[in-house]
Amino acid sequence: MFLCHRCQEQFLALFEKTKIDGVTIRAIYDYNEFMQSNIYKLKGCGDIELAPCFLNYHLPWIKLHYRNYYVVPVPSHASRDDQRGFNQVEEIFRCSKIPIIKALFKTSDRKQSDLSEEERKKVSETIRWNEAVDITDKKILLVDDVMTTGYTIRACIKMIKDHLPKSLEVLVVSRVADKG
Amino acid sequence: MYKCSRCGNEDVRFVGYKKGEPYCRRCIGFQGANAQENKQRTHQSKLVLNYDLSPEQQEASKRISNAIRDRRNVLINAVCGAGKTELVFDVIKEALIQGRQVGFAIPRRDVVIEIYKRLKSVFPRNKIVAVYGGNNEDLQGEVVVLTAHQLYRYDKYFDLLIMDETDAFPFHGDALLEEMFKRSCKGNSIMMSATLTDKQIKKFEATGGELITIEKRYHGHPLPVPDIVLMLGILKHFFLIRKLRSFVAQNKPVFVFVPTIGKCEDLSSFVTKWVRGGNHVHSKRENRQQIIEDFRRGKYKYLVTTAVLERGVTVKNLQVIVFESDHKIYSTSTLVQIAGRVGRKKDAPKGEVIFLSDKKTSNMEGALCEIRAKNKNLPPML
Repeated sequence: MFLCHRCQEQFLALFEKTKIDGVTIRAIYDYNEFMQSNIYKLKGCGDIELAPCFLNYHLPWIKLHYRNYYVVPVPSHASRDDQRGFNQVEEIFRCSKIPIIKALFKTSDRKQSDLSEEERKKVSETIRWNEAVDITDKKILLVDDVMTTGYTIRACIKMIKDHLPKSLEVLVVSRVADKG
Repeated sequence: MYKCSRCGNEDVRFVGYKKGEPYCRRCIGFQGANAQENKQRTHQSKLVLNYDLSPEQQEASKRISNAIRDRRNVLINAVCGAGKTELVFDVIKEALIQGRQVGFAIPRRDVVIEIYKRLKSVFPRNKIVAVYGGNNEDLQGEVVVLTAHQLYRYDKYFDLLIMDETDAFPFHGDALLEEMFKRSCKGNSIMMSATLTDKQIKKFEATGGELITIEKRYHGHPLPVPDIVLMLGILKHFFLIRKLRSFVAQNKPVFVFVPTIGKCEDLSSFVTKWVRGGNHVHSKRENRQQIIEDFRRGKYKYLVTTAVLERGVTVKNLQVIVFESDHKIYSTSTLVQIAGRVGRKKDAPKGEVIFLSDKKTSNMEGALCEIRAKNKNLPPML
């Protein structure tokens, strides 16, 4: 993947580190206007060629840091993926060659960003575990594209922890900064 | 070889592959419902104008109507404040009576809203819709007023498509939008602009269209010639405050043009401490329509603004100060447009335009030259 220097400057990596429920969360980028427009192009318009741009030069670091891990993407509803033709989180992390396990799936096709604060908290009810997979004693990396309030991530962490992985870390592409 | 069916793109750099299938990446951002054909045609129209057109305007208007009847495209090259919008009212009326679909495209969103209100008052019997980003539920009407970006919804749709301010960002020099313009127009087109280069005019004449030039404002007064005031650093601010105070004392509304959004906010917060009754407007301001409306009513004495108000705004007895006019965003045509905001009404044809900057740039001199040249073509005034 080659990016010109002008685009490269805009993809300003921060690797901001926080913790939720004792799990390390790394956010590669801040969710600024540039990220917003690019993620919209990928997700909303289905421009699949953009997918490898998000990791590009950080790929070696990610490969090294998360070796022997298994990627579990945060789910989106199947109807939306069919409409788009692909799942954006899988596409972003496909170029890292870390094996992907689809351990979670979603039963509601409502977008998290359209809901109110109260409704967002109920997200855990719509996420289900795929009984066919086994993650016991595996290192799991949970990945997502945008993290806003963290309710989805929290629900996913809880669900993965119930199935006893060896270790769990979270990597999100961009994170909306707290307004407070 | 893949060719996009929507925007005609053949450039391999803009072609992506999804599961082996090629798709166009140039027009991928344009997603939304396409417009259905409008079935409700009234075949009648009534033009309500509570003022008369000047003889030049009437003649130009007649020439436009004739050219459209002969199925020829029209390019109007008229100075700022010549009354370009009024020129096309007759053509629109004729097209509406024949039951043809009319489109009115403008690059700027604020100007779309302005023109929409104006057309609505002029054609009270016809259905007129405005389509722009954030207002795109109702797509069908006898006259559709829309931004250039919304043209993708109308595939081979308009019998008569009018494009105003063709030299404005973002339409000017954007191959994609120009392609969209050609695609949505199945009949004739009318292009209007105040600042055209010789190259563009020659290119248009080669296609065999009708060129209409008006080098006189509708009230016959010359264009106001800008004053260049050179001051260094903070002195500019002092000059600005003194000038604003004198304008406010004379009860004259003022626009202060600033190059960037950041400078707009900074300057506004500084100046409003010294001169009361001001506000600022830029493209990120959500309630800017309301602010502009309040400014018209006289609630605010002056507005600090970025280039959003550079086109299509008419305020009576307006004065203009261009702060830091040596900035690189101010091209010759932009400066001419800004100077053209002044003196657009019949009962207040004069006003001051001040270019306030550290140094003189070639663009500023070019704008001065252009305005003077246009004024020289005038017949001598009594």
